[in-house]
Amino acid sequence: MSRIAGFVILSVLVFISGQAQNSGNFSGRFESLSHYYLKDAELLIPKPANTIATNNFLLLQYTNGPFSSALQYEAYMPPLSGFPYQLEGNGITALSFRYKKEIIDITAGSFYEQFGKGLIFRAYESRELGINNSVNGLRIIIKPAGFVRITGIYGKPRRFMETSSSYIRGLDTEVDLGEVMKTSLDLKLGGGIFNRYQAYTGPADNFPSNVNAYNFRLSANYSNFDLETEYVFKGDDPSITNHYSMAHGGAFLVNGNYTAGGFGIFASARFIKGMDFRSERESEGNYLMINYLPANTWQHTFLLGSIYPCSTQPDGEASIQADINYSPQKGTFSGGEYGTKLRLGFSHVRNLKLRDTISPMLISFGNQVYYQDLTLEITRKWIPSVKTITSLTGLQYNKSVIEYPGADFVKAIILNIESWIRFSTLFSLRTELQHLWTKQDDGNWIAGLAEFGRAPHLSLFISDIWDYQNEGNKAHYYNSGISFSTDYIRISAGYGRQREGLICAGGVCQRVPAYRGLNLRLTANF
Amino acid sequence: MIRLLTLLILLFITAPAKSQSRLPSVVLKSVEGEEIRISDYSALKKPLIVSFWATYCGPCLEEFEAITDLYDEWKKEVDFEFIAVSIDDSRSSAKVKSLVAGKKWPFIVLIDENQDLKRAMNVTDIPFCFIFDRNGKYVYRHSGYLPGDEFIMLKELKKIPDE
Repeated sequence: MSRIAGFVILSVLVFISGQAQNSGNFSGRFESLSHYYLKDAELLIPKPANTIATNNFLLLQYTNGPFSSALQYEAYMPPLSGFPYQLEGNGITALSFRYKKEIIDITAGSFYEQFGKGLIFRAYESRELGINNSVNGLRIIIKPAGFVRITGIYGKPRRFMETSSSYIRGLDTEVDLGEVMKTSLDLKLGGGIFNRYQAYTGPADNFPSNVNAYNFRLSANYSNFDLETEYVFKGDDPSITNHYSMAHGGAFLVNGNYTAGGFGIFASARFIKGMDFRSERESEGNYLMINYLPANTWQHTFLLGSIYPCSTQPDGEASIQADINYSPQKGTFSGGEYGTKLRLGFSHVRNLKLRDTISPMLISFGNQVYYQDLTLEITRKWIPSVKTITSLTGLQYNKSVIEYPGADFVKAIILNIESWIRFSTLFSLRTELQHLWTKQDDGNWIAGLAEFGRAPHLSLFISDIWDYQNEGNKAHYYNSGISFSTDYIRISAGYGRQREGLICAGGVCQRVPAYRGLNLRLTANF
Repeated sequence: MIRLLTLLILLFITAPAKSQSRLPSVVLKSVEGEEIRISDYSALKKPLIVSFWATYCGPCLEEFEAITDLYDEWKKEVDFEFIAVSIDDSRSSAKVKSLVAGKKWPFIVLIDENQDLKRAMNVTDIPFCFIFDRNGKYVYRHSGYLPGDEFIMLKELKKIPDE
């Protein structure tokens, strides 16, 4: 979008906001993250030519009754280390106008949307990874009756700071049969059809410019039991990631929950083949995705838990997962006087069985393990002011499949002891102590963290991660930071080293390079 | 560019005076799969705490455990509702129900799977909490969780006048 158009729109918004006191509502948020990079002989990092990098976002929203409008400005000058270089620059990246009243909801401009579980289409934003595949176009949602919703979308997906060369369109319907039949069994049926058109101008015959995808889903909820399932089919989609093969794709997902007082169990199975679906067939990496294929595993967020994160293999994988949460009664031996919580999680990911020499069967289990994780977590409050969260994880990580060919198959055990100590109603200390044991890859790791808090405004932390058995690199990945927050602003500053490896957000992972430097983050909600 | 930035700064400065003041009309899902319009809770005419969280967010879980321990005590002092809005996406949204049951949380839990409410309320990081008065007008917000924040929430709740 041209600067002039942006200027005009902003002028209008400023004008509207000036008028808005009685008639409408003006709001927004701002986020800025900047790094200052330093030379580091131990990490073998030369001082970069441009030492400062900064990612900035400003979202402005205006609502007035059924009408709302949003504008997003982004500036990457240049993008932070690890973010795609194509983001460099600044400009208005989203502008939308929406009218929502009774049965109709229309958005013109930029929007986010998801069909079902996102296996064929999910437009979303993940600022942690530099992902934004919002659609620029038109979305219409109609609810002709309380039990039916029809969503239609048409537009061009975003490609970094511009739009991609393809068009996408889709239609999705959801029917609430439980409401129609007025039963206590809540039954929902859904289905969608999706199309991507990207003109093909090459020499091949019968090369599809259109790729179609379909989904069918059914969910049932009865008292303390629920089950949801989704089946997906994707037509031939030759692309760089499947070496321009004409194989179609598919996916099948089942999730279930059973709950009883103080007890909950979740189980899931997912099968995927040939589901890498992009807005441009020439793109690679995490960008320009049309669908969303998060890892079907628990997401560990503690320091050493993120060294071996699972990421989905869209070409083919089978995964199962189970998660149990349980709170024993207080006052019993297992519940203790002040309460105990238990979590047991298991996930297992492997390849699919081949039907012939190349094409796999969708619902099958092959003989190669990609990932496995078994975690027991015990949270116990010992006295009102002291609580510990202890977890033990055993994992298997097929690094040569998940990261790069030729790497080790890693078997590791991780122990994490986290404690929360309250000194008074305002002052507290949180600590993490972790150790990772493995005979493969870079050997054992140790990590620690201490965070001091003064509610509600101030926190300070120091942490260190050390790969002490690594022959080639015995660097300490130390970090320290301070964070201050008020009613609508949060400022944090830090200094330290970033480890090279996979950074994950919501199940999508991206490799980032190591760095040493200073960081500054500002967020405002207004 | 400079004109653009000037305008952005101008907007930023004028903004707090006319901030997001009410719960937006966004439809979320309950853990039982029912569709619920969050703004409908304003009709209860009770003080509301709306707190954003996710299953993988440690400080969020710690905040809710602290609230759970104090919940019955608080309810005797102030008649309020606590709504926990999960921003878990399709990776983990399906397991919210069993987690909530297993943790014995006593409050309302809703799911914002593609983060429509999070965007509408301009939330950047979780945990993030808002407090609304009996008329559905926002009176307090806070990002992050540090032990002790729950007592500040209670103080803010008590400030809300009875009808």
